[in-house]
Amino acid sequence: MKHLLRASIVMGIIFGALSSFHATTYSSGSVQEPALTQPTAGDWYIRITDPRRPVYMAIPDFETGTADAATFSSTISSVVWNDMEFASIYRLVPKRNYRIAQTSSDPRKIDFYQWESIGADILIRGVTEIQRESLIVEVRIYAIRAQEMVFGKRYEGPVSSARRMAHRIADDILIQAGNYRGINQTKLAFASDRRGERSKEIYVMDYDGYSQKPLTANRSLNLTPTWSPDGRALGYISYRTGTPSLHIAHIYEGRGERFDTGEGMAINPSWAPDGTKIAFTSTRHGNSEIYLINADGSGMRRLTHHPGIDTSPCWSPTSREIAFTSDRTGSPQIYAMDTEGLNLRRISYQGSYNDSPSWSPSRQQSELAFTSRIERGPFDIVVYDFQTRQTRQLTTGRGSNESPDWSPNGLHLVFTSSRTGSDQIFTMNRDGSNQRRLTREGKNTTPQWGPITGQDS
Amino acid sequence: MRISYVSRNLWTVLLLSMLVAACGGKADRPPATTSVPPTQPTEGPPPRPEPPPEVPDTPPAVVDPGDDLLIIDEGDPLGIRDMPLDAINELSPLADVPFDFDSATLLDEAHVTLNAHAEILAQYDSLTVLIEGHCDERGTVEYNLALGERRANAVYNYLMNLGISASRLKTISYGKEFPKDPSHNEQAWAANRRGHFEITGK
Repeated sequence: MKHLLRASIVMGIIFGALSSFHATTYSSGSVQEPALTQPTAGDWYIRITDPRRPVYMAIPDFETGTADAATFSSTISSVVWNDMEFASIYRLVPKRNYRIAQTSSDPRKIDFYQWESIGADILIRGVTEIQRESLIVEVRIYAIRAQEMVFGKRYEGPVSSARRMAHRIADDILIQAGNYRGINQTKLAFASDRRGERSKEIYVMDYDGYSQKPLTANRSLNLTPTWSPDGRALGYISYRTGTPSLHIAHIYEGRGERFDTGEGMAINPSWAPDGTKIAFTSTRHGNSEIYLINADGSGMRRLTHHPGIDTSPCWSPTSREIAFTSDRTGSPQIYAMDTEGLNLRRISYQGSYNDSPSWSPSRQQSELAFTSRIERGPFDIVVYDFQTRQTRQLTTGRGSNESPDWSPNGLHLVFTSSRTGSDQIFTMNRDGSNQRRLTREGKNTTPQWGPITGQDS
Repeated sequence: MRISYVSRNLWTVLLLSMLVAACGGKADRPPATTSVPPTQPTEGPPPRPEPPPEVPDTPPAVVDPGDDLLIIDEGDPLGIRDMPLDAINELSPLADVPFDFDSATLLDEAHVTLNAHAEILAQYDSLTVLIEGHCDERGTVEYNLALGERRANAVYNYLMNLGISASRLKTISYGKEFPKDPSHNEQAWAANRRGHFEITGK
């Protein structure tokens, strides 16, 4: 049985000057299901998500169909491996154990008993080829004990798209093997001073730290980016006109705009998950208060009325509530309210300084991550669980750890840490494990994790 | 609104400090942070600023009595009227004011400094000033942006209450983005928690 699926990935982002446009469309054309039937829906899924024991996945290096594909094959293998390792859903069977099972060079001949003997539950096999200057990758997922192929797909694109293709493959594996929404094709935005000490520009990079590119180039101070939920725009603060104000970069259209938010400064914007509004801090009435503005720049309205500092708004996944920071009791603490500014409640009671809240997008775990200072110690990332009302600490005192933001699947966080001597961007799992450094050049702060976009499978 | 009376003593110290700075020393902390008695507000209409003092009887050894910097013009005690803006800012005629951690409350020390600044701004009544609020590196980028704004506002309000026209003062917060001292210790943090003054017009 053959299915013809149409797949296309639009993954271009305009970098550099806002006026320039450079988008790459990579269409794989037809994607063929290999000549084996899909298993009955649900059957496979249940078997591998048995919660009683971890599931082991083997990912041998992708085979090379044509000699000129060797470097791409190696890139794609390592990206897929790294993506699966980062996802932390499956245990990866160490590569050194594979030799015993790799007895045949024909990808269609799988020695299932040998793979089972080294502990693999799932096997990923890929073949990379170059045909007419196109990069072609065929990927198959095998259920070892069932001794069958459960998924297969053919990817095709320009050779320059090797990394993107690999991330797409990893996301497909996560969806097909366990119905997990991967974040391997997402991007992170952050502010960096790598171009000069007196300026910070907004940068965008892949979730794994690759392809770091500037989005702004105005040599002013640009800070605190926030993604639109469709990933097509970024709100951020820029000092380019003097007073810090709210700017929007429409990154696929090469268009930028500045919102008129009246007198005073506008800082710390946060785009609502439903896309309709942006919450931010303004001093237009002489004191830091939380305001909302529509995503088209109209309808600015005030939510807080307190002589203390009210700042750092972030949205609940339903777009119905906003968490923010206020020093109304004397020290910065986290509060939540609805979008009318009502039903105010205090969230954080521990720590002498709490700020930069980020609400988990997960509907299963209702959690709020933020920066917390315990007494007079260092600053660390903590997570507050709305159900248990418990707070758990994810980082522990190596440098200052700040400004957490959740991945769109709620399984990871990106944050800033000074543990290496200067502010750099790191990612970690939601339990604090798997901490990885992504930036090295200059000082890098205020990271925001972009949405899952461009997936049609 | 009234202008505080500033003692002759203060002017002397201020002047000497400027001279020392001009003679090669780095412009440092404002004059009279410790030895000058607190200024007293006077009753009645705001007095004109005290005329510039005479040259002290015994100038410090580093000052050459023949230097033209010692020629004091009543309208230009700091000798900055003919300087370009960059040069004036290099001289930092309005010294930074300090703050405590996570606080935008003006310290006693800051009151003394700001009283002197008000006198200078009254004397040089065409100067316009950008008041910058800065924070130390501890705490988040996000919250420090708000805190720096509050610091700049505290300075702004104090100078306004001393009679400086709001039209001459603007505020901005740089949060923890531009530390004066990039080190990671108490001394650097103290230097970085500041209200800084940038002369923007004269």
